[in-house]
Amino acid sequence: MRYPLFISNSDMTRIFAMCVGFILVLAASQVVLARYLVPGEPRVELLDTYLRDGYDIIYFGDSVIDTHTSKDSDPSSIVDMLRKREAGLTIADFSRGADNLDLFELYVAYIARSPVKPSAVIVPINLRSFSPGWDLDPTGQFEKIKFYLTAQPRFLTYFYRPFAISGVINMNEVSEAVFQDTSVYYGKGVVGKVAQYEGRRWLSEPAAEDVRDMYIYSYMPSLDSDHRKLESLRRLVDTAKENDIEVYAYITPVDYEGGGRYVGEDFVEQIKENAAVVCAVLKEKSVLCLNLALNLTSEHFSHPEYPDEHLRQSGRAFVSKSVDEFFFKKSPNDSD
Amino acid sequence: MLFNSFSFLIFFPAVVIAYYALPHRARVLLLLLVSCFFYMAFVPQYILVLFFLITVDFFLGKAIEKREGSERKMLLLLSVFANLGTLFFFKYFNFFNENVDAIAQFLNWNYSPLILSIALPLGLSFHVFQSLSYVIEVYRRRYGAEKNILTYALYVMFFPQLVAGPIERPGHLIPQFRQEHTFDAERIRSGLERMLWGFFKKIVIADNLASYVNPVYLSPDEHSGLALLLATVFFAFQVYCDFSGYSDIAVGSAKVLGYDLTINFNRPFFSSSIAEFWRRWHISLSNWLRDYVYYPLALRKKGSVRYRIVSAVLITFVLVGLWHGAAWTFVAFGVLHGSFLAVGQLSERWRKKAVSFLGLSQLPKLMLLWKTLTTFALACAGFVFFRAHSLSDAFLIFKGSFYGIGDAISATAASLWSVSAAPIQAVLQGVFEPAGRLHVLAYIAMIAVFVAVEYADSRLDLAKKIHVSPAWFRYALYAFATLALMNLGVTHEIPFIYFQF
Repeated sequence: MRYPLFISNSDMTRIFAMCVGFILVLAASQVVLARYLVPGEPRVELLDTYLRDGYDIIYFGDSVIDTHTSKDSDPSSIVDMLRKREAGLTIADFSRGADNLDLFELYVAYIARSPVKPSAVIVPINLRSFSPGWDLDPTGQFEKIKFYLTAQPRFLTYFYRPFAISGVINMNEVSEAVFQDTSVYYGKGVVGKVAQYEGRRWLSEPAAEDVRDMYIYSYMPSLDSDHRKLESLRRLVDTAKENDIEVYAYITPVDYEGGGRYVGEDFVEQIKENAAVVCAVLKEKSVLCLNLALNLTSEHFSHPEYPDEHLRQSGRAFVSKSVDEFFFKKSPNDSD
Repeated sequence: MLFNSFSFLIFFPAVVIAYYALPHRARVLLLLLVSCFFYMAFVPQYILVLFFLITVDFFLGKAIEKREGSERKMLLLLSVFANLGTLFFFKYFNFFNENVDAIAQFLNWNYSPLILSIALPLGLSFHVFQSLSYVIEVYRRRYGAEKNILTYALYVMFFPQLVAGPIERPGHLIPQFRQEHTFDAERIRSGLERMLWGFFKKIVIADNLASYVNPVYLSPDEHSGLALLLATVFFAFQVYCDFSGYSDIAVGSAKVLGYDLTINFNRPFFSSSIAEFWRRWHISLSNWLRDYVYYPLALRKKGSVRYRIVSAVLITFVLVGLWHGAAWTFVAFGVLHGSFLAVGQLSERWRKKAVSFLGLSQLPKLMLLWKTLTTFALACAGFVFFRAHSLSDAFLIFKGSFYGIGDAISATAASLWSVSAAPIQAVLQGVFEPAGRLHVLAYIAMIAVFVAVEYADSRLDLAKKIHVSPAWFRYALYAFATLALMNLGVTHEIPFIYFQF
């Protein structure tokens, strides 16, 4: 054998050493580049700020928290309204459009690693977030935020782009093909595929049939207690409990009147059933469940003409009042 | 396994270390095993298709070598049938049936087409052509049949060129497997440089351009004329950087292991005619078709010279189109290029007279620029068919692109006339819409720099210049290119375009 051992050839050793040296220089350059030139992940930086500032409560949520209409005289978000009610507490608004239990779980795990922790997190649970259109939308998997929240040690976040480009991080958790081919359910029965429903989601002038289908697509699948987002909820509660963080969970209101108008009586029954599944998961973990799913009529919603959970001023005021009274003013014994 | 994946970053250095650590006699087996592993990372069971073709062609090659006369021809035809039959089954069966069905419907015949739900084995067209070149060379007695099935299997399966070429000839590649390749630092450096440039072209240029091209070609009716034009030009550079990037990685990685593969591209966009374009674009395929299809057709005895040449060109280019894919868009791509060549040949004398009459022969540089730009425009017209999802989309893009030129001219005129930027701004808004203004400007700048680098390379042989430049400069260049790869690529996987063929 000409080269019995790799190390015995001086050329090979030299090249090997040069490659190692080059990789180290590259890694150092990447750190400098990522630290000073490439923007990080704003969501995680915001969470860091809240943790550093020692907020008492961190309020998660999606766009329902702060979306308002031009008709509202007070554009305050649900968090702003709660702050007014609980002036003695510092409450951080950490909501963002399309956020969901998948991310809330990772937020809590991230918070748990922080030396300074809030005493409680508020977790709004939007029943539509379990639908395939939200749960499995490839553009709503937030792989980058997830990487920044879970990277250990945090030094690895400097390598986010190289990892994402080379495929070390799975940037395609749900492929478009899988998403489009996912079944859509009405209760427990399949009524079609996502591809048939997604195209009609953004119609500017939907027909009554389209609106009905959008209600079905958004709310009518029967929720299983092992849905991946409910598994996230279980892990969230476990992590929070291990770290002495209270979980104040509530189910956000659904326009049941609108749904009933287009889908019929089944709609309210399905919402009730799905909400009960969520509350059962919370109960299993000894966490209180504030179920607001069927508490608001159509006039409290921003767009009663199609499926929408965004609330008008009266709706937001109702949610903030309910959260305040249920979690901050009431004794736990009064829960449902 | 994709070249542009993390797995390859682990796989390749491990193979190189193992390769040079092993004695020469074990290297063929090592390369064969790692090539199987490389291929099986895609669809493992399809390796059986490769094994089938390898076995058939190996034994038929040996039999052809021993036989004489019509028996040899029969054995050759058997091999051609096995190879093209496999290709037909996986690649063209459904296309064929769909078209038979369309004809049957047109004629009101009762025909229920059989549509197979099978995926095309990766790079099948490349393997089949490479296998065929072996059998044909043995038949023509230009190359003796290989005695060792492992060496022959490696010829078909050598991982750097396994899924997208270059399509090698037995006389070029197989003897290299017999030679002992010692560790040569200079050669390795040169191979790594070529790989780095290939990765840069694929990840930084091609993948970014795809983010503009894909949405425009997905719904051409929703985009402005100038956006369609720009997307077509971008696609020309995307497909060139994608495929030549792959070829550079293939050639570079083979070079690191001590092997020379065929150079597949030679700055095709600097060609001054379509004939020259095909001598510089996908050279290994062009040469294959030239040697095994075009020459036999053009040199046959029947018909006039002009008829033979024109018909040979057209048939060859229909095959070029069909080789790329089982769709009418690819056939149109081939027919268009064949027509360009045929018309070019038929009108050559007339064009020369016109140039001389207009006095343009006195301005050779201007003529060269004109011919280069015209060739690029014709190549782009071909790429419309290559990229469009259907023939109707392709025609829509052509129509829209012409409107785009008109819109741009009228907007410029209106802006100059009214001394207002509004009309041009309105047109530009449509151009920027698919990817955002900054991105589009960055892509245009990227292409300009790339063209400048290619031009400088054609004049100065940049690879050689880099080779003799000071070490600090070279390493700064390597670091810059690698950091660009690490940060400027797109964050979702885009497979090489030619993998589908």
